[in-house]
Amino acid sequence: MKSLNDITFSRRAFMGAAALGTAALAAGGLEAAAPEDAFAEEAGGETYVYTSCPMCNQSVFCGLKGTVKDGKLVRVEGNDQHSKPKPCLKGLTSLQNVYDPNRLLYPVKRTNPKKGIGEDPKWERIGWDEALETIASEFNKAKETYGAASVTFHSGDPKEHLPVFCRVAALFGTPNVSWGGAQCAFALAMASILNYGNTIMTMPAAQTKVHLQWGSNIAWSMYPQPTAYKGMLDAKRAGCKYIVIDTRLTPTAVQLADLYLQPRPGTDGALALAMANVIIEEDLYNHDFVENWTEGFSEYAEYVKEFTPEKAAEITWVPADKIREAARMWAEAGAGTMWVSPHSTTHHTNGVQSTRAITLLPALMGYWDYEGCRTVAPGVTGTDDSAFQLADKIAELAPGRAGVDRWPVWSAMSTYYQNNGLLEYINDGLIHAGLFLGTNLMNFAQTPLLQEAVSTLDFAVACDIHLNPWTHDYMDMVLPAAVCWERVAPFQAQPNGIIGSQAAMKPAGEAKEDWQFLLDLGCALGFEEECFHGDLHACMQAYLDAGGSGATVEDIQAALPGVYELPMSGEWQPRQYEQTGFGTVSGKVEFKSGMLEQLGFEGLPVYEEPSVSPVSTPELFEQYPLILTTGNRVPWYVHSKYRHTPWLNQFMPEPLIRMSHEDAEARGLADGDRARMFNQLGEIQAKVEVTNMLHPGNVEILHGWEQANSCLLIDRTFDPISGFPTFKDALCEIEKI
Amino acid sequence: MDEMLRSALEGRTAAYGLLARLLNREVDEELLAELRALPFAADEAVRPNDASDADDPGRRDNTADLPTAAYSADLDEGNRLMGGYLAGIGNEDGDAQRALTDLAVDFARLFVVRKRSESAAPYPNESVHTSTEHLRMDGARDEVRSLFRAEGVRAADAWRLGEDHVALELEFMQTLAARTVEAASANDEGAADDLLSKQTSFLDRHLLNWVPVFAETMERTARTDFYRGVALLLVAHLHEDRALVEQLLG
Repeated sequence: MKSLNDITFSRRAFMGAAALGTAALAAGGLEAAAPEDAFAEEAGGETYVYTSCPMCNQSVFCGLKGTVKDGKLVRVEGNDQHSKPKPCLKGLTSLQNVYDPNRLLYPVKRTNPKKGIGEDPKWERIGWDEALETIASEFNKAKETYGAASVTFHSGDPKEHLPVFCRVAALFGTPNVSWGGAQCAFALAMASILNYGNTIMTMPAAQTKVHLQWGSNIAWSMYPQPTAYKGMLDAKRAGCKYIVIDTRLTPTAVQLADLYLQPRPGTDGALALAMANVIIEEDLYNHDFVENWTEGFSEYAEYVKEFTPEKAAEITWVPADKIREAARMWAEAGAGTMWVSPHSTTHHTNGVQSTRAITLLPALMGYWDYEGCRTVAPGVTGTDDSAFQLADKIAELAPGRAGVDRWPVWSAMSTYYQNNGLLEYINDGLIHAGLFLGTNLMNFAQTPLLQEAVSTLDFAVACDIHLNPWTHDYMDMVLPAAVCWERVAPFQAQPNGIIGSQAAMKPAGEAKEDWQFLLDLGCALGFEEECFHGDLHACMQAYLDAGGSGATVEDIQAALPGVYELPMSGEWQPRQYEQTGFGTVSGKVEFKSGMLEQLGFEGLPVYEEPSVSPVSTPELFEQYPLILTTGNRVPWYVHSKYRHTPWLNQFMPEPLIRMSHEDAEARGLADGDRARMFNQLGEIQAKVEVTNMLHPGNVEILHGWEQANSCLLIDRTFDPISGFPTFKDALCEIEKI
Repeated sequence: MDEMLRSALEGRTAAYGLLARLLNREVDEELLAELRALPFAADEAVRPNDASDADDPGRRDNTADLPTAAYSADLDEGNRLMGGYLAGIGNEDGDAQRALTDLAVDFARLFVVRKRSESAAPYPNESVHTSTEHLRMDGARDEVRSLFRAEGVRAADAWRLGEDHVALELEFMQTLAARTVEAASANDEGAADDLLSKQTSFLDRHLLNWVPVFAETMERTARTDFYRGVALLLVAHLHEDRALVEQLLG
């Protein structure tokens, strides 16, 4: 080393540095580095961990195997011992999601007390202790002032936190707990439960002769799982006939359909009633089943008389002969299954009734609980978590839910509150504070109204993976959530048991897994004992104990990568209904719903035009001559999640307006042009994609784009039975920019 | 070891420590008090001395004048911005707390608050800047981690942001710089040179490979002169230190 006397450098620099150094030493020197003493234990190369993919999030889904090397997740693939062993590209991309540089990694609180559209929250990082103390103090203040129900536990798309979420909410005493099924899935379940006391949707089996696929593009949506679509292709090769009914000419229709029907959006109910009309008029229905096991058939038969194929053709755009052909193909097969999308036919004002009309088609044929049809198979034992969730307490609180009078059928069938009324609940003074876990305000029609309303809450805290301005700018605090590779808590039900999760690493930054955060919150709220003093392992064990399986957390971990097997509750025997009946008011399949009638609704699956349509609002249709559907799916995204993850973003980096060649040409638009899409409610701008998928007169845009929020074009009208939003009841016009 | 050399080596060690601290977490009450006591406010204090400065109160009491060629505009500007911000904090009740909040909000804006669609923020991890897919924990993190291991250093147990975080890379330099002081104190020239070579290499292959771009974004994003100043000082320090180390190695 040379002496300083030999060199000419900026002495000023080191003088400055020396002065700075005083402060540095006072600050404590090294903070993040430590002497090495622990490399030996991880020098062994690669290790493997197993978890379940949360990307689609109907619940945690396909099985994932992760390879960890040097403290880092380096590879993701399927877990071949899982019941869903083949994840799609979204699951594989969970690797990039872990290391997304835009993740929120610390609790933050707003320092700008002014809330509202256009206000910068001026976030400041805080510690978890401060966060939990503040939330507890604010929630308890609201509870004392307005009652516990004034605090909503509001959940968006994620599901795996729900057992603890519901438990903590029940302990706190609020019944105003929501879940993502309020926009997806549950209206479909309601329709079939009203009919059968059970769900009807199932994939074709080896003995299935005909499958009716309604409004569901499984080739793209990957629901219920990627391997399911392969099963459908296999069934086709084995001879199953497919009737595909969809407003869009989807890849599923192209690949599977022996017969394809393309109805006008929102007219599915009329189409189903016309198929019933043909089946009854041509005496193709199953007399034995209908006479012995259904209720209200004669009134139903009388009602469907008016839906002749010719009349239905006028309503639905589907030619009468095709309706007849579909009805005969369905009725003459002898064994049929049906899959209906949870979020297409239900996103209209007539959603539940139309979906009831569709899901009653198997009842006409008695396609229920025998080989080749929907079979009601016994499930595994020991996984009932209702005691853990404190179901009894939830039932006690349920009458105090917001929206019980507004949506009585939803409220009678679900323990959650119908959060599509959140705007009114806040503005009417029912909700004053809230925890918003995985919530996206773009989920609500007329989003800015929600943004303003949430801004008026006394206290709002969100928990999420990212900090999303369109939702979180209106909150007081946002907490960082761990991703699937960083958590151990959620168990996943399997057809033959239960499977656990392992963490590949500790959560990045100060993120916490949902279960842990909720336990900590429960403790802060004063429920130390009931929240296991924040001990996650104890909580997981209590969850298992409540199910009664006798399994320990260690048993389930030790079974990985395999399933911890549990006994089945029995063996499947065909036509169990002959002993048990159906879980409806009448104990039979209900063409005329007893529950709907009890709650003041029409019991028959009546068809009404959607509240906005060329027929019901002709004056709007003159100004806005295109039918707009929103909320559809693409293979690479689920809702707005992971839009910016490189492996997914490359397929669709920006929002697209999809329209037919005819409609594009008529407006001088070509593929890739920028256009404005607008109606009486709002406007968005996006690129045009000209496609064969759309029928002339129909256009669509994917939801959840911050730069082109589809909900600006959707009105705040709801299906009165389910309370579902009408994401597919809209008209619009499109112009080149 | 001559005192001037010791002072230079200790000074650079401490400078790495302070920069690491400033980029690791928010300024707290204690650090703010220390910073406010530092003399880096006045423009003149850091301008190259020349004859006309004879009566200048800000003139450093240097035995040798600074060569004009070594003048760093960024260093001066960084000092001026940070010093100006600190000097602007009042002495009334609540002034310091307001400044701490102001700085914490700016820190969060720089390093915590991100839009999902963001791609040009001041990401504090090298790998985000150098990996093709813009991710944390990519190749640079593995390289840095392996260099840490070679030197018997690792991230603290509570650290969850990857070894290629700017604060940790700066602490790595701080560690090597401190070892250089020890080696020089023990008159172990071979060890000192070896350590300095490693620091040259780490500066070239890592810090200087990405921090200038990071700091430019940081300066553009910051809303306080304090963090604009930190951004300028950071890069100026790395460049000047690189030159110093090279000169020390001959």
